[in-house]
Amino acid sequence: MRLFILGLAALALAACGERDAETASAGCAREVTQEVNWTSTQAPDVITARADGPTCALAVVTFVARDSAGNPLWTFASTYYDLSAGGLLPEDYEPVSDEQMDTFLASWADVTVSSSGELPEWREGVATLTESATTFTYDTPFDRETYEMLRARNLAMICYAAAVEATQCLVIDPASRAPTMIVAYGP
Amino acid sequence: MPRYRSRVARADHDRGVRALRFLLIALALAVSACTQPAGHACDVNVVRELEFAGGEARVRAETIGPNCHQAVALFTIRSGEGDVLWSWTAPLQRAFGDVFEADPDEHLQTFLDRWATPDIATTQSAPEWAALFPGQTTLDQLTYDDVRARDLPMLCHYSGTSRQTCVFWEPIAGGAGQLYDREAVETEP
Repeated sequence: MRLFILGLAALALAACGERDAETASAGCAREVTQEVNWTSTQAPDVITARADGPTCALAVVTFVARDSAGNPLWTFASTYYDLSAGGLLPEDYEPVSDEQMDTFLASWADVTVSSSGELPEWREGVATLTESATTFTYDTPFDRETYEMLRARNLAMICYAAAVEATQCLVIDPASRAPTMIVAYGP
Repeated sequence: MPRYRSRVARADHDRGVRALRFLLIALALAVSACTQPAGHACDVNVVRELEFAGGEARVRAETIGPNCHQAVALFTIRSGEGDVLWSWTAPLQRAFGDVFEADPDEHLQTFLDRWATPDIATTQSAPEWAALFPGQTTLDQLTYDDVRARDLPMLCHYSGTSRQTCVFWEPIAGGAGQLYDREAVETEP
């Protein structure tokens, strides 16, 4: 019986690498999930950070936020290299181990909830948000009136890394009930 | 007296039940700790090779999700060496409608086959700056005009039911970037 259980364990661990024929041969298929109370205080949303590629250094990484029912709210894709070092992969790039990738994915998925009220004020009479901010460079797709309305409502907000020195922050638009990017910021 | 007597002679002799329980717990922990993605019902992909960016490239159009109603769509272009040239993603239903859940076998494969067949062109076929609608490009006019004038390789893939995103290849930087979005243009695969 013990041998049977051990055999089962070995098979189960071996099955970790199987998703479909292409990914199984891909070499880097990693995934980390993290719960966060963003859209609801009652039931947690789930952030999934995932890597897929022939090697971990060449992986496409995706960030997916789902509500507690599993519906995708937001997705973002980039490369491991762009998020960890920035820019295009050089010819003499260093290999990336599974452990390094897992650490990266865990860190990427580990978003915290803050409030849109913590964002910088877009002062009246100032042409752009970034001119109004005193720290980072901020960009928003909204006009001043809408931005200030969203900020004043203290909406639950999550922020994730979108590049090595860029962050994007999401809120649920109170009018459409859909997730929307309220700001992107960086140095 | 009970009719059947336990064959366990002593309370601390459980004939391996505890060891078995330990092994089962270890098995559960081993599987839960596994960070490789589990297979999902809507994990489907189509890979196609084509010429882009001055060489062989590989397009991968895929859906990832526990079911096709809740899947995400991911479109990736890699160079012949495996470098990621471009990636794009969106919730499948939000971008492409809710036609996949009803009959995923029929609709999904057809969709992925079509999605993995992008239009290949050059940037001079993009509209002039003056003809663009607001928000159709994220580039400034100087950059847009420059990219268009240099007639660089361009690839347009579906990013909505009737919308395509056009990506240009910048040989100097060795990377790709988004040029503009357009209404879908039907061409023969």
